[in-house]
Amino acid sequence: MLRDPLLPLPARISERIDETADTVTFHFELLDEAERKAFRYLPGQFAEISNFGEGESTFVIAGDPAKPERLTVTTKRVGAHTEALHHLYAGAIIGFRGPYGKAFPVADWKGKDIVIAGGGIGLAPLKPIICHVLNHRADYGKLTIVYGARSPGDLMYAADREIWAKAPNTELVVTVDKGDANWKGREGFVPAVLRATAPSAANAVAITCGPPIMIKLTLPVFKDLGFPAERIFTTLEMKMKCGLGQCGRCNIGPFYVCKDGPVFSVAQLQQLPQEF
Amino acid sequence: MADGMKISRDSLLAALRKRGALWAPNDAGRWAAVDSLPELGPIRPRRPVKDLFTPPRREIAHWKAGAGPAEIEPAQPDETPGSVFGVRPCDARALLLLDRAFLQPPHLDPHYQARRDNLLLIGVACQPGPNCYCGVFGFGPDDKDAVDVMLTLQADGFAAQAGSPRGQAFLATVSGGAAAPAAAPRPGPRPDWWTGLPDPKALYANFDHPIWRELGTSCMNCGVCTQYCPTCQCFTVDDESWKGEIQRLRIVDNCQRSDFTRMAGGHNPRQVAASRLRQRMLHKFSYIPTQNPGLVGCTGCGRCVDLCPLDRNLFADVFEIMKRINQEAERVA
Amino acid sequence: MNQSLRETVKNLFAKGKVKSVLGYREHPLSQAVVATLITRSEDADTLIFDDRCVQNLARALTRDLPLPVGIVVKGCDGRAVSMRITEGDFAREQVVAIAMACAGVKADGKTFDERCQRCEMHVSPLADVTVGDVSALPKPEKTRAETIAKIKTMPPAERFAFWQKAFEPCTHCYACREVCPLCNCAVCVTDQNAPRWIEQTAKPSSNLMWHMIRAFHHAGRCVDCGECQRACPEGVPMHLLDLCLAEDVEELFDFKTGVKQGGKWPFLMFDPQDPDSWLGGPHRG
Repeated sequence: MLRDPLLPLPARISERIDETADTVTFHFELLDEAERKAFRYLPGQFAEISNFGEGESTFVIAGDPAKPERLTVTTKRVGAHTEALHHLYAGAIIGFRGPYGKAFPVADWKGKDIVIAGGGIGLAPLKPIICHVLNHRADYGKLTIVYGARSPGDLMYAADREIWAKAPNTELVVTVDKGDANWKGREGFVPAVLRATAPSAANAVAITCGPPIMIKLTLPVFKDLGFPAERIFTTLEMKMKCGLGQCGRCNIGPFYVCKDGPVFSVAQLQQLPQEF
Repeated sequence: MADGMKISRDSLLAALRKRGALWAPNDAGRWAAVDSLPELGPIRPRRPVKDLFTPPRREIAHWKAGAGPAEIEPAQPDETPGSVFGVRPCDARALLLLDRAFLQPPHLDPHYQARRDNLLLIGVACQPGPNCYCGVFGFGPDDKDAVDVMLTLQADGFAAQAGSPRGQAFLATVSGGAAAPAAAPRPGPRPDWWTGLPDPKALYANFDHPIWRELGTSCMNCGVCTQYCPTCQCFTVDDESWKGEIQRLRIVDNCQRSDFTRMAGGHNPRQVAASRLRQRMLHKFSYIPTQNPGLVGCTGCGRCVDLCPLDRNLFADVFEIMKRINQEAERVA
Repeated sequence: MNQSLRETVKNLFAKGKVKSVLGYREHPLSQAVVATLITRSEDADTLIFDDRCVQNLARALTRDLPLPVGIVVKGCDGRAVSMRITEGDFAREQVVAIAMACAGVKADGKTFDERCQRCEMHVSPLADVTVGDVSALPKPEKTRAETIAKIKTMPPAERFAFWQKAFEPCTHCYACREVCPLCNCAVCVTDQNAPRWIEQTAKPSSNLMWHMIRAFHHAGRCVDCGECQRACPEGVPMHLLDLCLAEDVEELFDFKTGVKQGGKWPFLMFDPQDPDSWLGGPHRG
């Protein structure tokens, strides 16, 4: 018999990392061995995570796509469900269904430089791209990562950033809006730091994700740097419930963000109603 | 399909009973299990037949509080064979639209599919009411394209026509049927001022037209229109607990509610009432036709017109929008 | 009446007293009476007022309308507007009440609505301009007390059973909330999920919970326009419950909703002299 696509698969949390005061990363594994071994996902795809008894929410799968047995989501406490999720620790059972949505077209980007501008928890959907590029280092040109957060305490993925900083042909620029007494790094907003970093747009693609205001201000910087709209990508944030193109919530113009997105090029976004 | 048949009420009931369970509209206009063939009103019942296929509240799974992962019990699709008596063409046509949502690979809804596979749709031709508009969509009150069998009430039984091979096979099991020439299909009602369906692209191109805001004044987003719409499919997923038993549910939702698109952080892209009204109208008359040429997200049942507490008429609104858009296009040209 | 309404509105535009007017128009195609917002004096000719104007437009008042906004009001509608001003939704000068001499409306097109038959306030108490002959308005044919008598006289168990049955058809569509001019909470209690006060699906427990909370939140605020009842696609008689509470509030606090600006508002203010003992004041009963 067909499986109900709304039925989650049980998974066990293997590790919990408190990234910031309100953001937690969970690593988890599907319990069913056959499902776990068969599972694959691509950078940018998302999943529905259940805390049984509390409902479901949508998160991007923020892991290394080359290690699909170890799944990862990074969650920020903003509502009732994420609040409940943040009470879970290693060993707890959660529900998982996915992957959903169109991925970043990483295969089309081979041979190109990759420029990534992320803000806050917006680094989560970008992390699988970074992992993918580093896993296939020879296939891609220079990797530039500009990552910013409000304060030093709001920076996530410390362990990953250490790896990225040492990776070959990779430039990692970390910035905070406002530093503290111990902060020795850069201060400034992502768009300004991106402009100062000035990555070459020749034969490069740009990907940005972060709070709406950051995206809004970052897109013109990419444009000024010479990136055409077809080569700037972002993910559209929209309330979702099913992930299947059925529940109607994420409908925007003739598209469903869950099915036709969440990854869109800016050229595609320009065709959509300016609702979001 | 072959010509029509003449069948008696009793032999129809006997054949339906032999097939399995039987559903029909009850006195309150809701779809309920019945033992006999009810007398139907002249027009569509209050609730659309979609209730039997995609119920407002459907369980996905249930478990006891604190249960382990192995004890999560998925809900089983209802595969009871049976028939639905009294389906109106507008509601049946709406199921074709729902099929596109729920029977689309790779994410088929097994619950919906089980109902579609196992329930025979027995249509009964209606006497259109004042707000019935099936003619707008090119079919009439005895349209048999989306049902298995279409019946027309006669003094001494029904005139029956098969609408599908499955219906044809069923009619062969009805005893005492006599061949009779099929009546010509009746045209459907439509407003005398109606000039045709809007151009989906033109509607979409006028996404930012001020008329949406103007129409927004006459709509309070109560959402009654969507609750009774035979084609509306939107839902939400949530858990409910009751005395230690937890249910994961798929619950009907609608695009007119302010929290439909409100995200956990508080941001809501459709904050303004008019934007939600626009979403509903564009989805039905622009997005669905754009995605599925030849289909429209409305079948003209007119329940939304009947029930709107603000007395709005969807068709009059669509017509008014297109008239304004066309007039402005002409002025520019 | 239409002519003098139109003249009045044009006059308000001419004097710069309003930037927009909410009123009723007859839809040219469907012939139904629908709400309309006009922003130009010349569009005043589309406005109408007659016994088909059953809707309460007070709900359509939003702060994003061009202010000051004129609003065509019946007696009950005007009380709702007055209440919204009292509650701080609008400043008094942002709203211009165009009070119609309303003899009552006919939702069914034939007879006056039940609420109109017992209406004691055919002209809005909040009135910047008045249109029509206010001297020729009907007297109430019955009282609210008569309407709710059958409920008030039921023994508690019977009354509880009555309401449980009455709420049974509720599907939690919240149309009653959306059309109510005084359901003006920024986030309704039903939409809050931390904690989730009311479950989203219809069942006896959540139906009772929703209608009780709804009614309590309307005590001393309901203006008896009956929109909730009229909007309900399942015919739940929730307005009866509002009426019962309105009767109690009037009796206990000597208060009629939306009749005058200022003064004491039972549901809205804390008063150590509150007649209810658990608030610390002297108990009246």
